[in-house]
Amino acid sequence: MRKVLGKVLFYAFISIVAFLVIVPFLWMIGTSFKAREATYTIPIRWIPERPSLEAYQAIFSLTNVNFLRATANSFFLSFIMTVFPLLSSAMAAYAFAKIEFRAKRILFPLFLATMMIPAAVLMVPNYVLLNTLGLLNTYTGLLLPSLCSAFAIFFIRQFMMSVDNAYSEAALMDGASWLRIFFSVMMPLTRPALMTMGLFNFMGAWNNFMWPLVVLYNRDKWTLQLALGNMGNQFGNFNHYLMAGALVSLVPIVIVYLVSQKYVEQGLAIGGLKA
Amino acid sequence: MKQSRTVVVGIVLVTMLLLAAGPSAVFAGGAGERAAVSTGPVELVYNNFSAGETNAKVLNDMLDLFRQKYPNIKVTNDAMGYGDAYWTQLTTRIAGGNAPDAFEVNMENFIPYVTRDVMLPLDEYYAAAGAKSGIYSKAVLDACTYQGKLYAVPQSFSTVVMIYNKNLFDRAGIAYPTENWKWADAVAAGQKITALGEDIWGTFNPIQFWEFYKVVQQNGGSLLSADRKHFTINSPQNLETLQYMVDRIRKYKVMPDKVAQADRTESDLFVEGRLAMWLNGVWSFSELQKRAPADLRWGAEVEPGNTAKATHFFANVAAVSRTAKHPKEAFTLLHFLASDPQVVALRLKAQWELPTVSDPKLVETYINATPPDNKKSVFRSLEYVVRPPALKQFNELANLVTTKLEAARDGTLSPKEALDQAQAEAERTIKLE
Repeated sequence: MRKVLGKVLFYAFISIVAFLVIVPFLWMIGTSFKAREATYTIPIRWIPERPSLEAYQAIFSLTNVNFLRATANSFFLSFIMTVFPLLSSAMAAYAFAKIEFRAKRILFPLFLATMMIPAAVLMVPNYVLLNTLGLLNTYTGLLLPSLCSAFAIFFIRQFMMSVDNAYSEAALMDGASWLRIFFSVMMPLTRPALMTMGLFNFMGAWNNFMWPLVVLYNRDKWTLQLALGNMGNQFGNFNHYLMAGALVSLVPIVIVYLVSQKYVEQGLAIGGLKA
Repeated sequence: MKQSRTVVVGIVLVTMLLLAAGPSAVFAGGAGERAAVSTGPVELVYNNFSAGETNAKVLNDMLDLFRQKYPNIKVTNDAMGYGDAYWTQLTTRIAGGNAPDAFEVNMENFIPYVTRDVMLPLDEYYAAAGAKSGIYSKAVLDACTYQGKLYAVPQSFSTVVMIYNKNLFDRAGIAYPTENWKWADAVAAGQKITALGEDIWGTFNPIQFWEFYKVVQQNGGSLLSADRKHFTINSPQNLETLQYMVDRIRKYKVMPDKVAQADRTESDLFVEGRLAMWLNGVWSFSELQKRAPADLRWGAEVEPGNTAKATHFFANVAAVSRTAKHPKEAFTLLHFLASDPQVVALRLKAQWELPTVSDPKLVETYINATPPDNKKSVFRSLEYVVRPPALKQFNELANLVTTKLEAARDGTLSPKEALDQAQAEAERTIKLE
């Protein structure tokens, strides 16, 4: 009896919390369908008086920036900023975790130390560097600083250290090269860590605003966040446009999160070892 | 092992290729000729904000007209909305040595930018185009002048007027505002309208720096002394003014406080018919025309003063960068966008602020396009304009004064404390030259 009561209370509680969290999103969806009316009202108007797609039509027909193009740019950049750092960090993590070399004791703390520097501090030197190299207003310049990540190295290394050496030793005895061991044995085994870091990288890359703002001048190269931010400046009172834009930018990231969540929850492949 | 070495070399090569594909080309223009506008291919970059998205198409049409007249000049229109992102990008580009050839600043930012030596003096170009007098009105040319030299081309100007909801006035049975109204008249009308019902408000006048430097002048006060040598923020007249501004919320209750406003914007309150008198710039006319329901009748009037009248005047001016490779062509672009008759007609038709050319015939076209009613008040306001304090550290002063004013508005500081603290901090942190 007590157990049932406990369960009911627990579910009631988390339902209330979940509802409170969802409420702003519900308002956002409702507002994005409003048209010629006040968006902030008392009492709150959840369902628009005259629902219309005006906001969505407006954001896809902006003159100053092509919203679809900005979305495509964001996808392209986020993809590269997810895959590249993962690859380079995983390789470095493998070296730090499994390979013995003399400089390891010095190099690894050095790598970790770079994590202490906040991104805002790095922005100015990076900008000056790009300017000298003539890489401003290019995607190369935008991507360069994010191509490797000390945090990812640290995270994946921890995971790799928990993978039994027996796997790689077995592969070595079968005549595999280091690279073969890395791609065929270690990567699949560290998939949960890779998926988690991939998700972080994607979210960071998708939401990045400040760095693209100072690096990219051409409207054609703009990312989705820049387009949204610019809309925010111009359409201050047209909240339905802003909500529509925000919703559109939310959809991809929710999809990515849902997809990778499956992998992150996947258990470790511990089985297969002979005692 | 050989296989993996190939892979590694391959990765290194790909990375190098990526890096090589990057470097952006500097504009390939010829050496700037002083004699005439270049006939060779010229590329210009023009950073601007005042079109935003609302008038983006109008700006593009204007640029099309320019291209028809000067087919060899290619203009890249780097338009953004007015906001922090625009200033961040502009400042970063200029500081990094990649300044756009021409860029737009609003009047308040003209002094901070020109004193940092990023704008090219344009007197010779004005003279060559015969534009030094007779084309632009004096007030807007003043906004582009620093130490006797012209540094920018005025693009548009706006005034701030009192927009009022005629339906609410009719419901309360009071006469519409006139140009002779004083503070007391506005408060009296506001009280009658606020009495109409719960959550209906008589007026909204923001309590922040831009409002303050103007309203103090309606009461005979000022933020700086007449010789501009020291601050007079906490003078007795200014204290009276701030008390009046705060009393509207607390004593007369004609204006909502933060709790009653509940984060709704004034625009939302106005289009819902909950706000009778709203002080706003003429730039909001086109937005209101899109948002207000068909049955909302609204008009405009010169805002009430007290011992004197003082109204806002804002201008957007465009400058040529010191590092521009084709300054003459850049000036030609800005001069064309501000004064060409067809361009001016486009601006008037779109109701996109006001053109800076001094042609009385144009005024007629503007006034006859309603809503709002009584648009001649937009030009009547010009009789009483006051300029913002021209300071290199304008933004710092605006920030510190606004912080104190907001504290007074919300009740955490008394008006006297707020002004005294603002005075002390201004004296401490702002250098007056």
